[in-house]
Amino acid sequence: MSNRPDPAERVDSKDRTFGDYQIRPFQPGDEASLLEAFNLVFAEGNPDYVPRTMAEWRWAFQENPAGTRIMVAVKDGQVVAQNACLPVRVWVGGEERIFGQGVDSFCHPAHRAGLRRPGLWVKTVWEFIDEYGGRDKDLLHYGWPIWSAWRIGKTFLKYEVVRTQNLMVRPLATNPRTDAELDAHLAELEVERFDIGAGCDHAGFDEQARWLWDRLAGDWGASAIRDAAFLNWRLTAHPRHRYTVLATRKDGILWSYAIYRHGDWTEKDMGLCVDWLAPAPAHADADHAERLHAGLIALAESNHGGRATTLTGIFPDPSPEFTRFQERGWRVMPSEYFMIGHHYHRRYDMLWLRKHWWYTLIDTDLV
Amino acid sequence: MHSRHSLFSSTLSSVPPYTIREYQPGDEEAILETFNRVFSGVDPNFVPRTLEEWRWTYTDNPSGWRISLAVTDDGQVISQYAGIAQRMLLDGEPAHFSQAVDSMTDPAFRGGLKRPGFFVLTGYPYAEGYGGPPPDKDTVMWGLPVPPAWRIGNLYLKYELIRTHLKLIADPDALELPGLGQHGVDIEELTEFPEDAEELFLEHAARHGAMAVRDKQQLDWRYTQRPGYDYHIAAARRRGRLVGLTIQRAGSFDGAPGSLVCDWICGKPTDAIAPFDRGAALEMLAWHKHRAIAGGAGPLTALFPDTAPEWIGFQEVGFRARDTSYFLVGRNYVKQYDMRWLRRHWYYTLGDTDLA
Repeated sequence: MSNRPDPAERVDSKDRTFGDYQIRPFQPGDEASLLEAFNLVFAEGNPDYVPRTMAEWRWAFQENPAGTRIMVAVKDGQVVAQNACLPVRVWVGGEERIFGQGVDSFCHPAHRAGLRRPGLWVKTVWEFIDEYGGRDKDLLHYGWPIWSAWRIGKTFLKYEVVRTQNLMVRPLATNPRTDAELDAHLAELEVERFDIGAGCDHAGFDEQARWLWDRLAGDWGASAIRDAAFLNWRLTAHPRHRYTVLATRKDGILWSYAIYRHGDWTEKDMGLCVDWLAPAPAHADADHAERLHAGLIALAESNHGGRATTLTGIFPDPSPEFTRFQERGWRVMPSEYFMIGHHYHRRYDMLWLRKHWWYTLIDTDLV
Repeated sequence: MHSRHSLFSSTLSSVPPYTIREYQPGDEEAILETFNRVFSGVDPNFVPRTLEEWRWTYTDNPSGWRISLAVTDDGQVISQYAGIAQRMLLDGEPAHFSQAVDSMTDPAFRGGLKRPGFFVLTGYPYAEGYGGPPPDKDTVMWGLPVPPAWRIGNLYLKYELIRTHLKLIADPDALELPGLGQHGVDIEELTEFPEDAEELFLEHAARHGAMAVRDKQQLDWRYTQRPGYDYHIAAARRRGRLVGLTIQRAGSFDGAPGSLVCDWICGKPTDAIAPFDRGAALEMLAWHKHRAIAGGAGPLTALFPDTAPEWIGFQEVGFRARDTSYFLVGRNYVKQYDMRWLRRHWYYTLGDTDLA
């Protein structure tokens, strides 16, 4: 890593020790210590913080079908720093590769002081990069960092900005419907609805999700593979959130879907378009997208899951959906977010990713 | 800014002795000779720049000039790092920014990315000499670079990304402008800017942390004195008081021809809800609409920061956001004015750039 300082600052390459700390990949048995430190750090200054449970932690890091990416710094048996990613299988350049979304990074406050920059967390990330990043390993590590993490990341970790992230927002009329009325309206649109996630018993997606993604993914240079394994982990098995799926079918086969959730994100009580997989306007079956969109608006206006005055989502600005959704009444708004990445193959630099990488809110851990 | 080199590196052994220094009167023709040769080599549609255009860009700019050169002993310009200066109002106080433009290195003397070439060698003293705290130094240097310049600028010259840029476009026929003629605002076309432009600028600037000065002197330089370009100027007045100024010209942005909303200054709101004088804004947009239709140049294109109220306001009347190949980058010389601050607080339009 060219950003690393002189060798005296480096972690010992043989046993990954740095002073009294051992920096190494997560090992079974670290869970309790890791979670304890995590909840302590993230509760700092946040009276509304809801501690993460062990079930939630296992869902995020051990049950992800794409694997586990955690590097920890341990002192006296206690995890005191972590760098972690949620890996996702991505189709890019004609092959399946891994992108990793950086999440939940922390350094225990008692272990921040007394260390010259770069601190323990940066050293943990360096080991993470060596372990998981590379032309033949994870192609990209990405995230939407808070400002302080970005400042450290650009200085020491080769973070670069893919794009400053705009949100797409659509105002919603008040048109509350009962579930029966909503379903009747959706039936007219030939859109089906089912709820998945926390507290739901719906089985979720089947192999048809991959068929749908296969039909549409040719439009994009890179996108997370939306198959049953990914969607059922990300949504159906989510331990905290409930999602509503809207879908259209053609001859009984899944032909488009949208994922909706009511929740808090940049504001309280938002309608969130978590994911959208539907034929783009240029496709022969674009009417599926139009019916799906009408269903999504009806769902959000029906206060399903809670009252929302706006519907918010994201699409990459070069995508046809970015244009089409504006024609459907969505407006492009600024946000404090910016997508950053550390790429490990020259071909897939930030300029390429900005132009070719398809992602939506489901590719983040924010909703 | 003056340093002497006999040799830069072994890979550039053919480089004659050269000096890196600031522009001096008399360098113009040598700068232009290299500039026209370099850019005609990379752009088949390039039209050679004239001395009149060069002087307008640099020495005639009321905000000043920024030029760092590598010059051989016989006066040949090997490389240039240059910028268009902007007088600014920054948190209500006088300051300067500059837009990096026209940077070039004679291909015969280019170093690679791994070893700083002349682009960087002229860029270092440029940054050192012109960058610094307000009011006289450039608090922020910025640009809309092509990818190769961005890579070098990011690696060697501490440039960072402020924003990946979107544009706003509209079919002029599709604009929805309610209540036209009922806002108590009169629109007049001008051939030069009025003296009360500065008062309007101060009203507009009060809503933003940073904005380039738009007084009569600066606006006349930018739009009425520019050689080879025809701009149309409209003023909005409410009972004789200037409440808006806007500029249009037919041209291309990011490869797409159309009618460019080059500048947009709008007075303070007349009610508690609107972020600017909405009536003036609607009447000015109507002027843009009619001029664009009459000119037949194509869709209207505007550039605003997405954090400006105009970004939302233009969408409300029919403009739509589209991606561009541009990204705004900068380097700040005062800590508080970092990229996040600039993204939130800096107001600019196409007229701030050299693209319109």
